[in-house]
Amino acid sequence: MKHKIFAIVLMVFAGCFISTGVFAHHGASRWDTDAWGTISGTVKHFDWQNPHPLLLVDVKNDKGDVETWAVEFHPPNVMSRGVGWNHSTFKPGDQVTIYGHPEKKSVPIVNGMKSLRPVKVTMPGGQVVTVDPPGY
Amino acid sequence: MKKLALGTVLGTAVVLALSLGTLPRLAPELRAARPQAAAATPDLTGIWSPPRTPKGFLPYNFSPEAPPPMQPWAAKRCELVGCGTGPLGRANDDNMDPYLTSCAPYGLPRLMNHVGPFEILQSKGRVLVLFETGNSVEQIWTDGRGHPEDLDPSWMGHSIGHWEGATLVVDIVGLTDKSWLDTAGHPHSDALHVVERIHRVDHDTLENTLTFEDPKTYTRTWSSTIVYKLRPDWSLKEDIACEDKILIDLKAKKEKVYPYQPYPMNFPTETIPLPDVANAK
Repeated sequence: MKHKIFAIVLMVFAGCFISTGVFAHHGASRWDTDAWGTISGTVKHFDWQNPHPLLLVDVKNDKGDVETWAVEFHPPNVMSRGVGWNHSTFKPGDQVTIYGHPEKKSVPIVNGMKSLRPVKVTMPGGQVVTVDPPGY
Repeated sequence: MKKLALGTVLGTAVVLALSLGTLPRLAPELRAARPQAAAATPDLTGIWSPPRTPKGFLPYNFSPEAPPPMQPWAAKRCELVGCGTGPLGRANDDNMDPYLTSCAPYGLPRLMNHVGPFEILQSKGRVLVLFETGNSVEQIWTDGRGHPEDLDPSWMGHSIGHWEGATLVVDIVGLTDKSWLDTAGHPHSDALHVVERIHRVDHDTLENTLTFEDPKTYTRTWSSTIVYKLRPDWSLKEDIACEDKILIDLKAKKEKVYPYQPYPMNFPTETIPLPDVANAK
């Protein structure tokens, strides 16, 4: 099914990975860096902006309802130099998969949206890009 | 005709005699002046930024090893912010960061301990440092002037410099107390006096040893050394603080600001508000 959206999978690998924590616009304590999760879905909107580019992704949950997730990246100039992104890297309708750290349960969800701190992104073209650290 | 020829010969002889007489006196000064002039203007030009470590970038902290010796009020504020206790030596609560919460400029000296690159340009009597972050400019006056009296506090302060051999020594005062000293969240007062000693360790490496003197905030002077790598292939990019907030604001005023806009504008569809800083504990 072309537009099949995968359910959210949360996996816990306690203490297995280093955490860079370079950006923490909404507080470093926001993210559960011991936990890992994956979301797959359709790009709704992409803002190429300081301090953090914002990607909104529509993800179908396990009940079949579509939820919008908010994913923020390192600043535009860092992403540009590190992985060559620009304002047209994502377009509405693109399919993406994002692997990263989920929010801690104790932290309220901002603006009604769930969020994930991205570490790897499967791009619309299929290649996997490490976005944290973004490599320069 | 004969007179003219004689005159020419005499004139030439006089010029030669004068030259011979003056050259031996001028030449040693010229010979001495040239190497001195060359040593007085080492080349620091280029785009520089801190190297990245396997975990990311340098600690965002002018005092990564031990906390600087703080006055009681500064220690209390550091406790509130979590100075240097966040990832990579950042403040633990960066929702207290004036840059993130109020779109404030980084200012100096914080810009010197940041991942964003800067370009050094040298001209007669002045060294310019163009910081990508916030598109900020530091003018370091090297024409021998001093600091003006009764400076207005500002985010970039007032910089004067001189060369000690291959080292550029920069003296900065006039800094506003509204900025953070570094991304670790260390405070400073408007009495902050920063001395930077900047030199090129090798072609690709620039080293800056900063000394901080701020008796209102710290109980003694303290120093920090930071290195930067040459980025020969880079160019400076635009960097505007709070573009997210600007877009939200423009969207709210869209009808007022762009009444005759003929095409749809790319405004954000959703917004992520910052946490309530006023109520942050």
